[in-house]
Amino acid sequence: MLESHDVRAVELSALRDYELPGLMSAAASLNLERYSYVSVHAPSRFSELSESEVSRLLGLCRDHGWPVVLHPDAIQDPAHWDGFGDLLCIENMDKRKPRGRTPHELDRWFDRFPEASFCLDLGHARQVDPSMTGAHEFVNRFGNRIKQIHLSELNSRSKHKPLSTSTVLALQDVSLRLPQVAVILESVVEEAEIELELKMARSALDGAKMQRRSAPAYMAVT
Amino acid sequence: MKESAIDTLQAACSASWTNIAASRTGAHSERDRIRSLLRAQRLVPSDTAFVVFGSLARCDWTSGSDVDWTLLVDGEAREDHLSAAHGIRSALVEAGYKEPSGEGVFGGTVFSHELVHRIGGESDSNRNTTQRILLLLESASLGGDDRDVRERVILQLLKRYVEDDYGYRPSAGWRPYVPRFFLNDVVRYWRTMAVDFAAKRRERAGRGWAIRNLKLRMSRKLLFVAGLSMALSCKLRPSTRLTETFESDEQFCSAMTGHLQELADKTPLEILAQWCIDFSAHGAAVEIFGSYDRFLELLADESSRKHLETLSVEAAQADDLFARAREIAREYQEGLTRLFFATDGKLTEHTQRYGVF
Repeated sequence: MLESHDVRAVELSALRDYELPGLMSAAASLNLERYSYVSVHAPSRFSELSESEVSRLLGLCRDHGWPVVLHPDAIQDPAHWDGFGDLLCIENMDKRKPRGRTPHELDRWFDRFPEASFCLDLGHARQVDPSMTGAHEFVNRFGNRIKQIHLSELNSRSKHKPLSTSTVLALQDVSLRLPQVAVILESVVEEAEIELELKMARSALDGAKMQRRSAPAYMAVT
Repeated sequence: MKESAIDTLQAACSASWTNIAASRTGAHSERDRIRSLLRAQRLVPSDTAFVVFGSLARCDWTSGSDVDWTLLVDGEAREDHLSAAHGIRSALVEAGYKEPSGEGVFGGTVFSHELVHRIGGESDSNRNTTQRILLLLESASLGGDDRDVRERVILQLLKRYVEDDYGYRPSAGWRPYVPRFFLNDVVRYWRTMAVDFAAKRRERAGRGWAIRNLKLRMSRKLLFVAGLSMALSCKLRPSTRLTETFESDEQFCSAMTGHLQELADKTPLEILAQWCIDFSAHGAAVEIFGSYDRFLELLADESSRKHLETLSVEAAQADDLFARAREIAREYQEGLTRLFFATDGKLTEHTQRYGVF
């Protein structure tokens, strides 16, 4: 699906823990040469597999140097994740979750995992705080840890939607402050709309456009 | 594709309503065009819906129609909602669509909170009532979290009407009944439109009077008739979900809400067509739909439309085109009177009881 598009980063995802064994055994034989950045998203919770089994399976990622994106509210025993170093990539959460939604709530995880990196989910950040003040604060506190960015639009039911013009405009401001890292698009779109979604994403991360706007956002929808 | 009630009725009446068919086709085509435009530019944010009203929603679109729309917001208030509305307006104008009419009722953001929580009382402004009733009787969503947002707001509205019918529901013993609160709001809106017509004639010194008069007597009246039919249908033509045995008030209210919501998804003409079918009112149908078909034919003719838009009150009395329009409206009224008062005894009895007092 991605072959005909100019994308160089990919995140392999096993959001349900029962998907993980299959993903890990397939990962070894996947042709990922065209991607300069590969990461793996860990299951969002551990029900059919134990946390220790999950962390053991994800050990393959250490061998490949693939960051493991992990939801902080899924962590029950931090000791299982100690060996991942900066490949442990903690993600900020959406409104449904009890923890990890704000910079303050993530503090304790980075205290516990001082080497861990950060997956800044801009969709989650905007859903939790539409003013984007929280997103700026994430950058203030953990900017030097950002390993990758998740990009999408979330509705109030926490469903991933295609990027709208409103979201693009809202993200341009904070994008000026983001490091040059991999961006993983989490939008749910039809295959025919992938290129449009990529265009919207590039626009969202084009902070220079924000700087060129001399008038408030509501006067400059382009 | 399931045959529409209008097509079924047309066949049963051995009639040919070509202008109704053409305007329906035209409306669907424009809806697709607008939907594609909004999608291509991603102009509608999450938790909002781009909702159209008027002829585009009623599916009686003609070449002179404008696009009446709002950005319905059902979620957190965000400062970028205004940007989104501006962007939509610009895109539609660039695509050649006429800007909305309605003195600020359309062309901007509408918040579900206002529609759902302000029904009646001081805080229920003319604008709020208009936006609410039109959402229920004459709306369609074309972009965004479309079905989700519009549907859930309509469900909340209908739930309010049904659950707040305190004095009527318990005495009916969980049997289908005519929802008074809903019907009263529809009637109030119809009478408000009629009163506002007189007010506008005065404010505008008669400018545009003739075309507004015709529309009041035809398409605006159609809204009222559709709303009246929806309310009466709960008792006179309940859907299967309303004929079950209920074990709780919540279950019953949910069934009433569901019944009304199914109808809110149909156009007013479809609702009226089904009503004529249900009561085998073929004679009335020929008058109603035949006259409405000629009404659309008149609106679709640019010179006729422009003539009516500029006709003064004084000149109208001796004007041939206006006389023709008045005859169309008269036949339409005759058909409606025949349907509700000379077709079925129970329909007449219920119209008198619920529609008048």
